[in-house]
Amino acid sequence: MQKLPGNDEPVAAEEAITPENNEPVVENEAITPEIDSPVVDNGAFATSLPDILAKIFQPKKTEAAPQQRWFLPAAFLLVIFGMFFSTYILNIDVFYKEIEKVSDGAAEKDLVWHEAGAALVEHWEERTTEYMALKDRLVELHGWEMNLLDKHFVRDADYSYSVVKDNHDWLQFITFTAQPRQIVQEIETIKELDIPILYVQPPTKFIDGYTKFPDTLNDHSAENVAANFALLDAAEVPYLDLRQAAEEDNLDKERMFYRTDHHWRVETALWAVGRTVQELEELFGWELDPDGAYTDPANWRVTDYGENFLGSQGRRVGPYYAGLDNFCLLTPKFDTKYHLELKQHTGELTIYYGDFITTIINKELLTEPSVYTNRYGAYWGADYPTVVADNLNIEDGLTVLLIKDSYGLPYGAFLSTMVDKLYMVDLRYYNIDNLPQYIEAADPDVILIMYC
Amino acid sequence: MVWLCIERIFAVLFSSVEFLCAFLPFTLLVYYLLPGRRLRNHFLLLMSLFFYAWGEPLYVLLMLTCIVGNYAFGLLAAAFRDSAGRWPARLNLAAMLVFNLGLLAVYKYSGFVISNLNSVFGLNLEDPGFVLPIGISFFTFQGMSYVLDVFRGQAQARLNVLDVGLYVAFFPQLIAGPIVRYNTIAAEIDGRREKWQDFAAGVELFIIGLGKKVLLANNFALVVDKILDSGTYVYAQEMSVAAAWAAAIGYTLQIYFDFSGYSDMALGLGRMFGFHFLPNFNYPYIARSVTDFWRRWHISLSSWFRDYVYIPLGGNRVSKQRLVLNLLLVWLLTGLWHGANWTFIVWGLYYFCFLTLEKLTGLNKLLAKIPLVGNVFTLFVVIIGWVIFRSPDLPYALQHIGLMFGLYNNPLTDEIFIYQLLENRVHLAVALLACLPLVPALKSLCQRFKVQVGRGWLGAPLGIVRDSVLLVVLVLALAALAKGSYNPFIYFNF
Repeated sequence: MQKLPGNDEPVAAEEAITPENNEPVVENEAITPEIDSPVVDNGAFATSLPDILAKIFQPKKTEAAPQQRWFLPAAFLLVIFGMFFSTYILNIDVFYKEIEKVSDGAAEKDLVWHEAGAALVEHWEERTTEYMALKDRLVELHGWEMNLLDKHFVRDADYSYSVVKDNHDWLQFITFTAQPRQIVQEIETIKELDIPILYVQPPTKFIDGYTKFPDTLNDHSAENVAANFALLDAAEVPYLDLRQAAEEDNLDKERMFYRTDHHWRVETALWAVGRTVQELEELFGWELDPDGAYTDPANWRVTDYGENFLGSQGRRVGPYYAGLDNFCLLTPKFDTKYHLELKQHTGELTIYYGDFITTIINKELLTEPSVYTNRYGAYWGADYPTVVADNLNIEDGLTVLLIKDSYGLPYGAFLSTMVDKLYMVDLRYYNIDNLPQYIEAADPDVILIMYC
Repeated sequence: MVWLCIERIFAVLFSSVEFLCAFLPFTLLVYYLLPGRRLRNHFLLLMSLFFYAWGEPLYVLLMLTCIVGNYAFGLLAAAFRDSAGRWPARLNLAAMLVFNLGLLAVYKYSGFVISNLNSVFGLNLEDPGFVLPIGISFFTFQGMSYVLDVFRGQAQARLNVLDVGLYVAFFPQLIAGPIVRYNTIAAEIDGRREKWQDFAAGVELFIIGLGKKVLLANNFALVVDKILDSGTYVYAQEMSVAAAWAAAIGYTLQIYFDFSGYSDMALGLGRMFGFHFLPNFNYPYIARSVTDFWRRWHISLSSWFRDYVYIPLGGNRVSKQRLVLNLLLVWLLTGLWHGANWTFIVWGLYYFCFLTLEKLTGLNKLLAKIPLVGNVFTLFVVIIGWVIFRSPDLPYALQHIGLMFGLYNNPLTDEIFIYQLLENRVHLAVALLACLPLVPALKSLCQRFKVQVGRGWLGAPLGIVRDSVLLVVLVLALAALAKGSYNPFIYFNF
């Protein structure tokens, strides 16, 4: 009869008979936890070699005293208690506040108890993700492991932030099929303001004919851009396709984008401004840079900060998956003077006065030693709902309104050196319903849209 | 689809940051600080209910209902067992079955039944739209196990409802098994002794399970989901033969490491608190026959059906016709237990056919004598079975199987297969090795040569290597969880 661990009552004989044969399960065939049991007889791989060796050497079986293991269980307890203490105990006030938040929210939204409970669980899970101890180090370790295993796809909890390593070992996010932006869909509304518009399509990091994704992964950048262009064509709004321009100008594709970030390099943004200026001259006759001085790279000081930039894609996988980027800051060698108004997300207005470096460059983002610092944000410091840069060195020049996303950060900074006034509106933080009024108030000479 | 998880359920998984870094250390700390068995048991029950409520704040009431109901049935079963008449005892048993199976019928099968009635008879019955409570198939079966063991006189009824609660709701085995038979741990509810040796063994098992789940199963889940890509690839009949097999084999590996990993974690957690659950898997992919496979796969479920359905019906001590009927019923129920979908029923019947064939012809005994042939045959049957199991419907399953055999003039191989093979070559190699009983073989070798791992000139370095590897597995698994990588769990929805 078969005794089972945990009780002293033997199992009745008939229970040892399996439905598939008439033979009782013999005790030494009993299935026991793998870490305790001798090898089961019907494990062919397990018994053949020991059987052979046993026949040769025929050692005696002796009973040894059970060994007390200390290292592994102690290490395990250290890990889980260490994480418990540093994630939860040290931040207990944060987790406690969630209870208050959910209680208040539950009363407001009239939630029943189990809905409030589910909401609290969700909040605690989010806080756990946010406050998990050593999270960055663990993510780095995971990235190191993925690199060691030569993985080209690292899935993220949010699939849209999964990271792909392309055929040039660049990191990429997958671009999914997307509807054209509302600004493009409603371009007629902007056209009604009777101000010249130029849509600027930046190069995409997935370069057709150059970038290749692992099979089963598809990038839809080109389709999305084509959809935008179709709407612009229908509305007869001109656009500058910088993807094509990059091909024409034979830009070094290796140097167009950061390897670990989804943005273009600041040097590429300077080139893009030069191309925009050319296009504005061809379309509307404006000469923003008649002698090419503003957009000549020789007139820009390059400060190399070395390989200390881990971009947006790199931050999802750590620096050991694809390395770090080299970040160079471009600042004008020529004289500049600005009056700058930055509208914060809170609605507060911050005003700066001074030269390009004093007003536009956020030095903290360059000098902070952590590679996780967003160096790309050094131009303007961040994305703001609105920015007004009054170039005090240019009188009676062009007033440009730039509708932008984060690609517009270095682009707008470089453009600001050759215009009278630059208005920047970031539609991720500014209500598009208020845009026509804003444009009317700004009264620009031209509207540039680089928001895709 | 049955293999998809509701995202917020992630927190209820053992393989989650919340469990590893909050729930488990807190529970261990308070448990071992509490004096006395009673307090410790009540605390475990409280934490188990909290564990369940974390993912199912509403359905914890359902589980409490199941506990109280089975407790009452257990008391009645004991009372009627000692009394003279048979009918009260049988009536009580019938009521218990109606109660537990009724819960399953309502929450798990009502939608399936109604949709089939509507399509067969052209009715327009409304689907009640019940959400499947996590682990309902496990805790109802455990509840039934308790009452049945009391009814049979194999266990004493618990006078304290909290003890029944602990048995049914104990968090290590609550949501995904193993289905712990009451009589295997009845004595341990009151009489267990927590030992450091057990705790250490539990830690090892837990880490092994965590590694299987997070480092292996989750990776293959990505592969399979990517290849099958919401089914359009299959329905369009464009998938290559190799890719179709890659998806099938990938799922074969995913489900094994997913489920056995979770079972190992459950066993390990039980050990940490002094409980000794029976193992649920025994290297099923080295089986030499389908019969052998089912002695190794989800052992707690097959033994539950054996002991509570098959043997009471007469087992194999009946006529051949009756034997076949008994097997048919068991495997129909096994398929149904896995889910409310025709694919599971067909999957159960698929195994019924092979098991009956082996039983009636003695094929399993013949295959046992030719290990390689037996193993290949069994794996072939099992892999095809998993294709049926995973498919959302029968046409999809047939399409996939057809693609595996090139029936749609699909190409032999394609870039997708080559990419997935190269991308996952290391995981594949590790997984194939992990399917083999190398660790027991190594332990046996050590035992035969009197090498005690952790002691002696040879054993000490082996012990260091063993513990170092396990520690690395723990840290890598934690890193994967911190990343928030893909973490589905298949058996959650049973």
